[in-house]
Amino acid sequence: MIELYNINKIYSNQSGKIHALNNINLSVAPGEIVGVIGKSGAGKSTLIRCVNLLEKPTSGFVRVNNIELTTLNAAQLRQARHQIGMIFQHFNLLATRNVFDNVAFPLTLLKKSKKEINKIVSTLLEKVGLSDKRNVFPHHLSGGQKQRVAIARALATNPKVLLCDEMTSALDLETTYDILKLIRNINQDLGLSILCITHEMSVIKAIADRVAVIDQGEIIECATAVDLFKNPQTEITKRLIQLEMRGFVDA
Amino acid sequence: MHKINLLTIATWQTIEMVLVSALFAVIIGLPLGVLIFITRHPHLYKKSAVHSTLGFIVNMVRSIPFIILLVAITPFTRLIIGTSIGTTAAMVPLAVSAIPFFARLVESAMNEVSYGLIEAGLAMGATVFQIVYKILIPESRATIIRGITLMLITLVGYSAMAGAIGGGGLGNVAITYGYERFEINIMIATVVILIVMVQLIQWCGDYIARKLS
Repeated sequence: MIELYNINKIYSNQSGKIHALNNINLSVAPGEIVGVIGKSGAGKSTLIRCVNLLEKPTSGFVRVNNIELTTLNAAQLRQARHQIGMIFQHFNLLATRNVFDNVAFPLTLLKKSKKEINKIVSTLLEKVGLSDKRNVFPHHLSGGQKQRVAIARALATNPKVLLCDEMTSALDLETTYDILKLIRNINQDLGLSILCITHEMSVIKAIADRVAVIDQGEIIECATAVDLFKNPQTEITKRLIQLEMRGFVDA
Repeated sequence: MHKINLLTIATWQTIEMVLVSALFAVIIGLPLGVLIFITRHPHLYKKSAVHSTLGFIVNMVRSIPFIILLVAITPFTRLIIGTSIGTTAAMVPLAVSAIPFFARLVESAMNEVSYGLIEAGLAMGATVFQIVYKILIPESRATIIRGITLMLITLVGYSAMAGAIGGGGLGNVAITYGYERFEINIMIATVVILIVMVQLIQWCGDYIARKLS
């Protein structure tokens, strides 16, 4: 599970201070999928990076799997990160390693035995439907296949939490649907808590149990997915829903 | 027969100078380049003072023309090797000039690795050391090999300069026999050998880089 309390993130540069996140409170219960939606520049990326401390919040507390990450030293934080899977918009696979070695990567960091790695990776590749691609290099894969490899890699250390950073934004509609279905299955099979950030309402609609709408670094609305669609409270949410319903025709 | 012997010895001397100094450049330049890269990176090991000090030293050595470096560090060469004349002594200035060149090369090769990969490594709980040797070096290896090729070719040229002031090798032969004694055949032979050498290095480098990328 994930709990964020009063998270603030302020970037300072020569031209002044930018308040990227403003007093964010958000939680993801065990087995729940929470979506965070917002326009680009709203603070989504910073928010999800505050969960595994790729970005250090200026103030506030982050608790994942009941461990308060903000109080850990560097070595303890690395340990905690093994329990937090993450997937990215641009997949971030290693181009010089094949599918098998990409999925095995987090296990080699933990110095697991070859036998154990082989067993875990084979099971995961089967789960994501890429058993026949184990010796293929990433540049021979389609976007959807790359994201499947990334998902398998994120699950290799058997985390309880999965962070999804715009996971379908680089994919076409049909592939998006397949990936979302896979995420749903994983959520149900493994009871994973999942936090997704996205700018696409369709992603929220397909998988999120609860939704937070973020704008200018603040959560302006938080509701179950059903309530949000039925009864949006803010103009920004209404607009996002409208865009999703109508498509781009008269948006 | 004597001349062929002369050229063979000189060729080996040149190869020896280039390879040994390149080896030192890689052994010292690689960690130096990595250090320059990670001390600038906010998510790896940001140490601005270390970064700017190393950057300054590297720039300083790189800004000295090789022919001047060659004579300027003679005391240092004598300290390490015991003499400032001969093939072994020539390796010192060659290595000194190649180390910062290679360090910059490694740094720029690592700059080309997408930040997303570093971020993925951090998110998976990798240490900075693991990110360097499991992500940065493998992902930039083709660029690094191309850089080594470039460095070897530069060193072939520099070794001829070192030869001119008593370092041995093909440069020495070209000056003493070709230039001072007007033995045009020797001059042509040294040039041909150097051309073949450079072509071979380029060909091997390209081949390895292609295999790795």
